[in-house]
Amino acid sequence: MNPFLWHYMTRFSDREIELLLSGSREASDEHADLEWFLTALADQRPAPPHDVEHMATALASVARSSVPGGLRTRPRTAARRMVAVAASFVLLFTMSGIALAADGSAPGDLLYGIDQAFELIGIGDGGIDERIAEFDALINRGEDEAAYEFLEEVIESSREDESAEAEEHLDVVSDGRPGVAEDNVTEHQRFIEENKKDGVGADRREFGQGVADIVRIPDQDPPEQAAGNKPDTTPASNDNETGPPDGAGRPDDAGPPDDAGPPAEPRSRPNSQNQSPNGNQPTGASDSAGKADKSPRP
Amino acid sequence: MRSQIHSRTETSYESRVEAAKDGAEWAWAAIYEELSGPVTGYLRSRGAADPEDLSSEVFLQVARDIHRFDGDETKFRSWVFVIAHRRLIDDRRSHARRPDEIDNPPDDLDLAGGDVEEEVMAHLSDARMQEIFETLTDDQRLVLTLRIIGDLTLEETALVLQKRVSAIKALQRRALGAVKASIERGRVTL
Repeated sequence: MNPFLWHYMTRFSDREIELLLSGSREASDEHADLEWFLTALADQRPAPPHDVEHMATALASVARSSVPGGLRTRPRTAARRMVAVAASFVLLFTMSGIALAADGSAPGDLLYGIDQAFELIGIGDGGIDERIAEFDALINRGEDEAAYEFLEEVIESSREDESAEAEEHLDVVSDGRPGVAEDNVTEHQRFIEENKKDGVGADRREFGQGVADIVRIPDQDPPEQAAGNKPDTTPASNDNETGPPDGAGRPDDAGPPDDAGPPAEPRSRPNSQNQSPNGNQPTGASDSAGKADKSPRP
Repeated sequence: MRSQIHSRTETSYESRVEAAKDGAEWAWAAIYEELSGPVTGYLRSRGAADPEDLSSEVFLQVARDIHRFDGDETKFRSWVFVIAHRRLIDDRRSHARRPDEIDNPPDDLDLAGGDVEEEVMAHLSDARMQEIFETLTDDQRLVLTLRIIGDLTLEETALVLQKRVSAIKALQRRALGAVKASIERGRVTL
């Protein structure tokens, strides 16, 4: 240590130092020069603040808002946020699962309503392709009647291009016989409605037979139908398939079923037994699926 | 000022701190009035770029954290200066990364004039004081700043600097010896 500095240091007692630093005038005259220095240093201290009240109000407000309870709310808030995020994920996965499951449903299924609801808000909307898939699902289940009714509604309620696509699919389903299936559906529905109206449905056997006759799509149209003659029923049990009668033209060529006019006497509706030229009795609609004749009722 | 501080009893100071925790404006007014000057002076003497603004930040942090504080007057004053010291370090780091582009003149610069001789003498006195002050080590300057400008006691200074009281005593003794030596040398030189 510098001996010169040591000389000065040893001249201060603790009490003298405290007196000097506290600004007391009791310090000895020997340290008057130090008093000048310490006074000049103390003058660096700013004047008392003017905005005490304003600042006190602000500080009190900050202190009130920083109460210990506020500190405890942070973890609670964080926990709530985590629970909310977790719940959102669970909800999202659940909704996605339901939407996925419902997307493959067909009319009549439990989830079909949910599927429709999701489609309304733009989730899982497959458009006409999905409708066709639903139609196929019904066909595969053997619910032909429901399938055709469903597709008819779809065709009516869809845009023109989508309707065309659905009709084209219908042609394919009708085993390469364009126009047969949709006409068959129309005929089928009309038969059901009329019989409901006239109370014929009470005779279930006769009614079922009539339905089966209409639903049945023949494997081969008779030559008379191709020639434009009045079509006749074709036995469902005819196993001599010669291929679809593409060359015979669309059954529409023979005129729509309405041309023949509604039956005057519903009970006289022909059954296959009376109209079959070879006397073969249709065994029922299930036996004749895909083979039904589109025969306008007399 | 020191006499005013020591005239308060510990009980009254502790009750003031408790009232400040509850958000009593009178308590905060008393705390701010007593400590804002020393804190701002300490920050200025330690080279803060904007001592008043930094002092306000210090007191806002004091208000936010006062619920964690538990102690007597000595600990409270030390605690406030510890916050000021840490804010000063943050301020220096901040300005080191983003240096000031414009060195604005101080707002309180008296351009209207006055007693020229008195102002010149005061300026020379300040300049001489600063010259001598710069000859001290950083620890010595820090101790003198906290004790004289910060208005802290020996024990409070020891708490702020996290040193023993004996170490603070040694530092201030050396500081005063160095100042006296500088003054004596200056006198000889003159």
